[in-house]
Amino acid sequence: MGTSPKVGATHFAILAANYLSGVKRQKTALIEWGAQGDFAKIGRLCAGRSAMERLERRSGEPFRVLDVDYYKEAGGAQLLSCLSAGYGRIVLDFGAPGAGHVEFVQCGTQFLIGSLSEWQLDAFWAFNRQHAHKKNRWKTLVAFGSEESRIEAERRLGVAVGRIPLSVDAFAIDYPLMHWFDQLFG
Amino acid sequence: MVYKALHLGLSQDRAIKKVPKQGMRPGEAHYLKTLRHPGIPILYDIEEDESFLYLIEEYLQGCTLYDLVLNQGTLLPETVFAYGKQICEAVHYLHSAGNIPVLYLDLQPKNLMVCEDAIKLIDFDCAANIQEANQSPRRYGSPGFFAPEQESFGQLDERTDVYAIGKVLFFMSTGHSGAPGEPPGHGTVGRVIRTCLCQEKEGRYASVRALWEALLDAEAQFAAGPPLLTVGVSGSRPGVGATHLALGLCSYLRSIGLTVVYEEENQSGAVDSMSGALGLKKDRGGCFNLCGLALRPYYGKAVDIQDHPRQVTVRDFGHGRRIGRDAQRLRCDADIILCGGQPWERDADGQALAWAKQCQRAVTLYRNRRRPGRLGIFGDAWEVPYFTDPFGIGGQVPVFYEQLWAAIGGKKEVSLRKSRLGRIFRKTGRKAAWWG
Repeated sequence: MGTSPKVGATHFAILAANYLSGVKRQKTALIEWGAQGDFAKIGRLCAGRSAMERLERRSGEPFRVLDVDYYKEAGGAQLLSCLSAGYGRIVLDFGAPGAGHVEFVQCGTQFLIGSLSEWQLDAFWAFNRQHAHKKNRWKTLVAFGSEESRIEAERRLGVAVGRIPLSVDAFAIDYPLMHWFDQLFG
Repeated sequence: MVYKALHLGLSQDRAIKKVPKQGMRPGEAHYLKTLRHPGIPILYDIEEDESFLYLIEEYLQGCTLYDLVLNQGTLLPETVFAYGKQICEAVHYLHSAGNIPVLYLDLQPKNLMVCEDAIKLIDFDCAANIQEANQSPRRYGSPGFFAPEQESFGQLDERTDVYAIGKVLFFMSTGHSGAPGEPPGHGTVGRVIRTCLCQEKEGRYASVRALWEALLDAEAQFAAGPPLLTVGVSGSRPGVGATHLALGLCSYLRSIGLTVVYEEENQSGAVDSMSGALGLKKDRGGCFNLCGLALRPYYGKAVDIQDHPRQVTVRDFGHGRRIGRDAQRLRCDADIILCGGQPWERDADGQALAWAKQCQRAVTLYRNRRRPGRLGIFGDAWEVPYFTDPFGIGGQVPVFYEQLWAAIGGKKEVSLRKSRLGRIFRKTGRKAAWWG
């Protein structure tokens, strides 16, 4: 989940799914929680417009990109069906804070994606103030913002704030990303 | 004695080395404090009491080169080149930092730390400037790594360190320091080592800089060529031993001086499992390095990492078949098909043999051949000898692999393609650039 819109939560979710599928070779599903609309755009671009139109008629069917199954605008029903579909890992992209918070805190591993860019700092701190009692539940990660801001965030929050390595293409796992995810997932 | 300490103000680890005062030459510690190079740990400060000096140094997280080779076996050629160049850079810095060259004089794998991908030179106890080193009535060095002139009280100069660097390159390539007169290994790195280890100083590289350039040239030659041959290994059923056979082939090819990459093209997870058990770490090519072999786990399409330079690729397909798009993408120059050979494996063996007909060039092997004679479709089908360790093949096993290698055309193909590549190298040539 992102602390606010446009912090890179979907980018991170796609990266994580591609790592789990490409490096760990686990059958992976990526679920877009709610009507964010990003996955429909990805599907049209990667799977093709006609394939997406076919999928529209068969609701609940995923489209596949690089061995990852993408479920667009999904919810509890899709999550339940994925849980029984034999996936090794299911990645949920909650996007910005909203209706999916209950499901987010129920996930086996939770990543909170924030941004420490100056114009997004208020939202980062507002979210963390609101959920201060839960800060140890999730791993907090940031892609944007200075290193000084990240160290300051660690000091003020009292938890580790990880730095997501630069990734220009969410569909390509290079060596630095692989190394970083190896440590993140253990 | 070395202590690990915490700098309270900066929350950073430090190493504190306790050295008896009488063990250090006057001004030596202060000289070390002036050194600044990525390959040399920073000496931040020096404290003292009546008997000891306390050198407060950068804390290095990693292991010695000796431990690295001890744990995971010989290193890949590209790692040997990378580490070799870094060692040269650090030693060259010592040779050129002051008015008078400082010789290190005790270069050996236990004095080199591997921190992530960086090599650091530690323990400067024997280092001395060239005048002091030659005037000293005592000579130091580590057995197996010191140069002939250190033992014979000959004149020491930069080429003394060149010899030791050659010994370290030899150690990384073979896992030991080598007996006198032992051939320095195959390939481009072998040629560089041979020059370093010349008994007479005049036959060695004139300086560490010249050695660095030679390593750069050799690395370029090594990396420029495309793979010479791709061999696929498939089994007729799960557990028939395709992975064992493929790893044994890789070990054999490495033993004859070829650079091999093992690529897992099946979902057994054997490479991840093995690397997890042995505590191996991935290199920048996403491969695990074990006994001088690069082992690449089965990656998906999203993984985008640079390939290792190699002469031979051995692809382990397990019991999988290549169909559809994969058939073209994973096409091999030669295929080895391993069948079970028992009566109850006949169906699986039959299917494997039928599939083998589609391969460009295939050799059939049996794990257990029931009757002597011609059983294979593509000529004689051999029985695979029993061996327990594919990373340490011995006895008759290398003979078996030699025959197998010849049967799949590897011997002929590699020498043919190598000679073509040789012509290309001779035509293009490359000039090395010294670092800034």
